[in-house]
Amino acid sequence: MKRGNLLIIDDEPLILKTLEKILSDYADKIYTAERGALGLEILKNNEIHCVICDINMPGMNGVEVVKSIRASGNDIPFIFYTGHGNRDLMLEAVKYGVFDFLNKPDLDGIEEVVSRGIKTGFDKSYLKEDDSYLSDYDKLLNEALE
Amino acid sequence: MFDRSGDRQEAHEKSEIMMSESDNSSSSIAELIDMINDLKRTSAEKGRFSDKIETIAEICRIFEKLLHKEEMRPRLVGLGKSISVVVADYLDTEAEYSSYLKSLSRPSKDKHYHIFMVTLFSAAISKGLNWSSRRTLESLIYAALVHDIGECILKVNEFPVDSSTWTKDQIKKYEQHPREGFIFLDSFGEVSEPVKQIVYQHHEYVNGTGFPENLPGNKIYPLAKILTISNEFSHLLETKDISPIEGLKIFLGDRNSLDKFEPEILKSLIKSFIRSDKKV
Repeated sequence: MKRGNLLIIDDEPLILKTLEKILSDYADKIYTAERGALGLEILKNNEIHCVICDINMPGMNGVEVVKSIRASGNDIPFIFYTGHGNRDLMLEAVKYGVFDFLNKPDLDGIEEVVSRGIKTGFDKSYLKEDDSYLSDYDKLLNEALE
Repeated sequence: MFDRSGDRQEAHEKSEIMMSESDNSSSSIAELIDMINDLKRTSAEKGRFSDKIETIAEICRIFEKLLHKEEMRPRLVGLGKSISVVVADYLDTEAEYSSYLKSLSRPSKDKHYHIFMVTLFSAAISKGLNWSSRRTLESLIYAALVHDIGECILKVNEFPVDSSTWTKDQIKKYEQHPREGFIFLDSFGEVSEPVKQIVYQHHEYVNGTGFPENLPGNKIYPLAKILTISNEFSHLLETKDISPIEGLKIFLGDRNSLDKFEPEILKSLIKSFIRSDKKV
């Protein structure tokens, strides 16, 4: 079964390698980038369904990466991982839409979050407009009142 | 010389009151810890949902009361993590919320009841979403416990009860409470980013009319959308003094407000009132 492709952006090669290994069962293909600019290039030229990115990187930081992606009209699920002490960056990042957050150094729940992110990006259900909700509400309410 | 004996007496009385308040707070914290441990011990035991949920309600009630005491807040932030784990242990195994939700009458007259309802409805919504996980549930419960910590810091409870009479400055201050809460929680290393973001975004609406960032729906953190609905629904029950099932009818009847919420999540709230064997 096709799952979808993941892009990981982090300036630390060891983290990239570790994450690639941990997440290998959750994506069809994993792309890695040590710089934000390279990540944008990969995203432009490949079919990617989810991005996982460090918030604090030299050069182009995580916020600049997500900002640039959104400016190109791409609403791909974006997962940030962050350590303590990045308050201002996190407050800025949320303005561009963050699918989920992971905490460094344990990255607890990374498999579940990434798997959900890829699935969402693959299904495109994240942005799907649901016009039928009002009649659905009435139907469900009737069942709830029974 | 001025006779200061009256002042001394007053100061002595004040210090007695403060000491007794502090004693009460300490004993409330001890009581809270006992209840958490008790729930932890019995989490594996099968029991009546309504019995255990009463313990959870009491934990939330004490927690909410203590949040108004500045000196207690750091301790409560630490305890919040333990509470979220043990409450999730219990709520995660509960298959059926509908009978309990439908049996609830009006909200308790106790004003410290809001956290419990937000916790309960968040857990119920989360249960019905196919993408929700144990991690999601724990983050939601923790965030439900502390979501209004910014209001306590800004002393919003000292504003008039009727918010329609608030001054512009009071409204502005109120709209800062998610940010204030985020900043406070961020000073503690143990609070995870998902919890902080739920607190920061729990007044954002998918139609872009929320605060503090006016985020559109596709930019709002999905877990925050759950707490937003639980919070609004709980406020409706409290202000109108009605049961959840009555509240559901009114909530859904207000068609102009429904575009503030994510349809999938609102549907999950409604479904939590439907018995699982009747769900399609």
